[in-house]
Amino acid sequence: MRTTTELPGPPPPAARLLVGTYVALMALLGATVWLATLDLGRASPYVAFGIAGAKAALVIGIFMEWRAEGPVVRLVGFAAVFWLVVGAALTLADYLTR
Amino acid sequence: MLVGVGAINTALLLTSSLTAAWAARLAKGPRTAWLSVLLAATALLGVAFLGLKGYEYVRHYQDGLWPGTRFAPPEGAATPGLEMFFVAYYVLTGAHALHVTIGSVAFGWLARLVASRPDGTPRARPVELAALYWHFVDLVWIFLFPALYLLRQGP
Repeated sequence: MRTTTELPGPPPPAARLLVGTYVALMALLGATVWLATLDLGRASPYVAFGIAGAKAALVIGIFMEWRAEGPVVRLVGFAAVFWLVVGAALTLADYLTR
Repeated sequence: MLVGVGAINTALLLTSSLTAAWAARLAKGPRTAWLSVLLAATALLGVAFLGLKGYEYVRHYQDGLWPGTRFAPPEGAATPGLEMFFVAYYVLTGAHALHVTIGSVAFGWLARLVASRPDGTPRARPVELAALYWHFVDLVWIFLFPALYLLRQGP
């Protein structure tokens, strides 16, 4: 019977890094809610989704431990996001070009 | 839209991602009682999210914002495409809520499993996989929140 829980792979992120990431995520949430109350005109979606992209990068990079993984895992992760963006762009193509 | 409720729900999910990531971190190390606590906390934060989401749905229904023959938005709030927006809103948030439900059950189950096994059986892999799933559910919400709550004018 296995008595160890050691797994192959990179060491888990440090506690301080996890808390720092969380604080940054909450700050970005506060920023995006505040900026939504301002009239930014046509820049609004770029600001809102830019902040969402930054939050996503933190979650993927630190919480999902993408940062500590090897090149193959990174490549697969990047490909998944890439095709997701392609799918979303094709879905919205008609709406965005009218 | 109830932007305040949406913001609180975003904060709940971000907090649950921290507890999930911390659980995955602890699961790789020596045995600790905190692992079960963090797994349960993640599940409870998911349930809290669902509770607030349900509250929002009830409010929308009371405001006549349920698509179909009963669709009757408040006076002055009706804009072109509003009903279509709410169809997309319910499909997107409903599919997301279903996945939050699955994740909450998974984390609750893991918390119970870890608490009931004092022999330190392998637990890192299931916790790590559940955390990856949970972070992805969080990621989807990170984009749904600005798309549905912040960039939308009107009710």
